[in-house]
Amino acid sequence: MNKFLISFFLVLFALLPTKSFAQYITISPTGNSNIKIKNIKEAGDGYPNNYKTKKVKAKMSVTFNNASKNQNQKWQILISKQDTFWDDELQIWLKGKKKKGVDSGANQFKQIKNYDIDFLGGKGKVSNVQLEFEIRNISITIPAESYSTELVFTIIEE
Amino acid sequence: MKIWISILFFMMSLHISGQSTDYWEVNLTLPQIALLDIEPNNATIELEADVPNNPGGELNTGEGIDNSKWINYTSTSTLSSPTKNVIMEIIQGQVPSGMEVRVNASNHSGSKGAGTFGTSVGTIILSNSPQTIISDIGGAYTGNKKNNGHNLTFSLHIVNYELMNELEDSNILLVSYTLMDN
Repeated sequence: MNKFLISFFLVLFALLPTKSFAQYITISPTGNSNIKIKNIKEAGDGYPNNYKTKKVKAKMSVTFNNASKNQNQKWQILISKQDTFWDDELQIWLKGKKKKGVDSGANQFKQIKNYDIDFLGGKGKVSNVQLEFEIRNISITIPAESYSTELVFTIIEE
Repeated sequence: MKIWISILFFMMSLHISGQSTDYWEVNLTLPQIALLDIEPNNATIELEADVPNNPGGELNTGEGIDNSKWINYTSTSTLSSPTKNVIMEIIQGQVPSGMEVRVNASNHSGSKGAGTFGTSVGTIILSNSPQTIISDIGGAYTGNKKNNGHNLTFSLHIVNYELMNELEDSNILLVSYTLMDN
């Protein structure tokens, strides 16, 4: 029995350091994150057709604890949202700009849902990938309330 | 032994599925809006009781009808206050004795607008007390300018000849329209 215990702890200690060789994603909002809504001045008017907010921006970085992965480790970022209080009519569209190290999913807006979808794929360490989102489908028919949600970025190694 | 192998695989699976997450908060406030106006303008309308066509006949109120005005509105709802009404009242002047001014608002018409439009309550008799003319407006916009929104029809009616007074031969009424929460 003692042999088993010793073996187990040896394996455990061997594995623990490798587990800490993880990848990390960091989102850093930039600029003004206040979302302004266009003023309606004339009674009878609604918001313009296809009205969407100005873009809100952030920078994204992918890093590794293990420097050996900085070059070629493939990764995939999944995106979803977790609503605190949100109206389903309000659509959030997110785009990541193309950069070296980002191989797939860049330069196209994707609508964020309440479940994970593929957002960006790439390999190695990248930094300062520009992200931007806008909110679409804003309408007078949506109750005038304060809405809040969180975009959830999850990176996985491939 | 089996237990150790299971624990070993568990540890390995932790290693394989290592992942990291970050968050970006999104806050959005949609403003409350309550806008109303009268189209094509708020110029005075004239409701006239002409002299009878024949001696002994009734005063002719055939000219006493006007349907040139439209109500336009843009209105948001909130969860605590989902609907609004349009209220009308005379805020200055008096209807001549023995006469009534009636107002009817149509239901929404026009090619523009969207949302939960209000419902006409039918015809009301204008008075110095506020009265609902359109009810249950949700989040909606009627479209702008005349021929969009709710068409107003004003009409003058003689209800009691005995009370009519020729000294009150011209009365100007100032009428207010208010879009307010239910």
